[in-house]
Amino acid sequence: MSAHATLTDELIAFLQGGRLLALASSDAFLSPTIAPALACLVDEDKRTLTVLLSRKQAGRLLADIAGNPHIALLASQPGQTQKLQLKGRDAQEVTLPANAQACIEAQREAIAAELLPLGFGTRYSYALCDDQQDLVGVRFTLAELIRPLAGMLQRSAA
Amino acid sequence: MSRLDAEQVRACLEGSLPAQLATSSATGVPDICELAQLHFVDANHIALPYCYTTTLRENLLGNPRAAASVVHPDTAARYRLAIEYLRTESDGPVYTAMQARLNGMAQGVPLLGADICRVLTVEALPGPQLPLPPAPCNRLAAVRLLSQKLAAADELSQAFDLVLNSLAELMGMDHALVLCVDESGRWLYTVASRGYAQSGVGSEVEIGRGMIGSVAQLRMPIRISGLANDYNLPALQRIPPLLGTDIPIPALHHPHSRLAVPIEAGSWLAGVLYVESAESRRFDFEDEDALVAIAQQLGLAMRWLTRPTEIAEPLPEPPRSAPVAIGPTVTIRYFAATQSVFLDDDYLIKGVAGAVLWLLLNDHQREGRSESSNRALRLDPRLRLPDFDDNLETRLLLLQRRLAERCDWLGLEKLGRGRFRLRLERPVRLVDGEVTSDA
Repeated sequence: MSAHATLTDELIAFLQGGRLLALASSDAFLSPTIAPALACLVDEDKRTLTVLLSRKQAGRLLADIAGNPHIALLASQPGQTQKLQLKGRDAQEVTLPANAQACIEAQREAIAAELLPLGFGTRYSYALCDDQQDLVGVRFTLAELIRPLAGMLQRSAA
Repeated sequence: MSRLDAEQVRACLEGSLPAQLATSSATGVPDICELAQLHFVDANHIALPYCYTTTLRENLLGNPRAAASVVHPDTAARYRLAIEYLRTESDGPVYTAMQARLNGMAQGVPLLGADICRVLTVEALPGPQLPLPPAPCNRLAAVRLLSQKLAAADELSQAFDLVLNSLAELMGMDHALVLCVDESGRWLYTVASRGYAQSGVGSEVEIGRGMIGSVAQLRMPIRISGLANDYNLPALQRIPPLLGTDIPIPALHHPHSRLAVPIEAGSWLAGVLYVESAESRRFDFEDEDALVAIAQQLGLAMRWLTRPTEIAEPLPEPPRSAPVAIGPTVTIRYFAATQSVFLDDDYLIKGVAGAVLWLLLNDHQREGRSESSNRALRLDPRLRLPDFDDNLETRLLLLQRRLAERCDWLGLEKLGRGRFRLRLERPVRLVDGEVTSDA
């Protein structure tokens, strides 16, 4: 076991391969909330993640992490059982990285490719991934990686 | 704008795209998971499937608050539900309905309970939405019209055909089967179908196995669409007791939507009505409601149309002056152990229908008698049927349809309610396959 949880290249490819993404937080009263996420960027250290969300959809989550920085990200492959949960303890709102828009566009095309065989047209996927011109970033350091993909190496909790 | 509730987002709970559920530990650590189904209970309650002991469940027991994210399968509208865990049910209608769905989606995954949750709020998230596509038909009007037609049916075969044709014409459900429960109560057999190259009449499915079998066992509808495709219909067929006696059950090559509902009349389970489509998400909960109503009507019609009637025995026919059968002789073999009938080397039918055909053929050969009645069959000691047999009428219909499909020289013709005639136009040699001597 390593001292820090890190993502393998394979897991990064999974995260960024047109997955359905959602982010969860908990407030001071232990009431959780959830917000759909549009895309996920991974820093070169393979343990710092920036999740892109619509501010209009994630207002409560942004307020939560200001008081309780624990966060959980779920990435799942549509129509498959493969999914991945990543947890962090230091979530914070950050300014958007320079490549945020390009990342959203890549994710939009990737998710359209994933959903098309399942009977969801491109317009549907584009609507799911619409950034609404109000993108916000939430950054956290990977602290725990849960339910890794079958056959992929799991890095331990920090 | 009125407050949203679970009923208004019911389409989002169907699992076309899975829901995400967030919980929190007692120390404020969030956890998130994906659920294939959030079961709609009523406007203010949903149920979560409890299949495994997970962080989700540990969190819910320690802190009942949770949040779910769902998306509309047609408009892409997103909703967030704030919910509160109330209790776990391990029996009752909600549990059974969830178990039925799970059986159809993932055989072997146990449902330990239905976690009932109160829906505190439903929030529409801002974002783009596609227009809602128009419904394929007015389901209530279709049910009304079909009910009127069904009430006028005076024969079982007419009732089956009417339902299957109406499903196609009124509701666009082009691929459908009617299966009836057999005498043993362990198997379903196909008695009518529509929309397939081969009718599959006579094919069998074990009760309790697969989607159709689970519907019969649990007496609950099962609807599967889109993502869940574990279930393989042809693989669920009965293993034939004799080589060559299996009839393939008709099935689309790649069905993306399936819906099966029990056919019932009160406590009596008559069978299963099944529809499928190559289109993803073809059937929604309103289709399910409509099909349940239609299946109930069909069950009542079956109950009525299979009731025993007191009909005088057919008058003895005058001895035949000359055989009318022409053409090459056909050997008809009968295996008493399975009541199976073969025409030359081709399997025809088995069970009660096979025994009935064998009896009629023997009577025809020995006495020249070709007419009979349901009542006569029930009283015939050679068949050992119960005084009242729910299945005789459907078995005769099955025999009639199999004969119509398999040969043009042998048939069973209805002479009115409860009476029929054997039509035999070829010379036959009757062979008891197990004693290997000519009958």
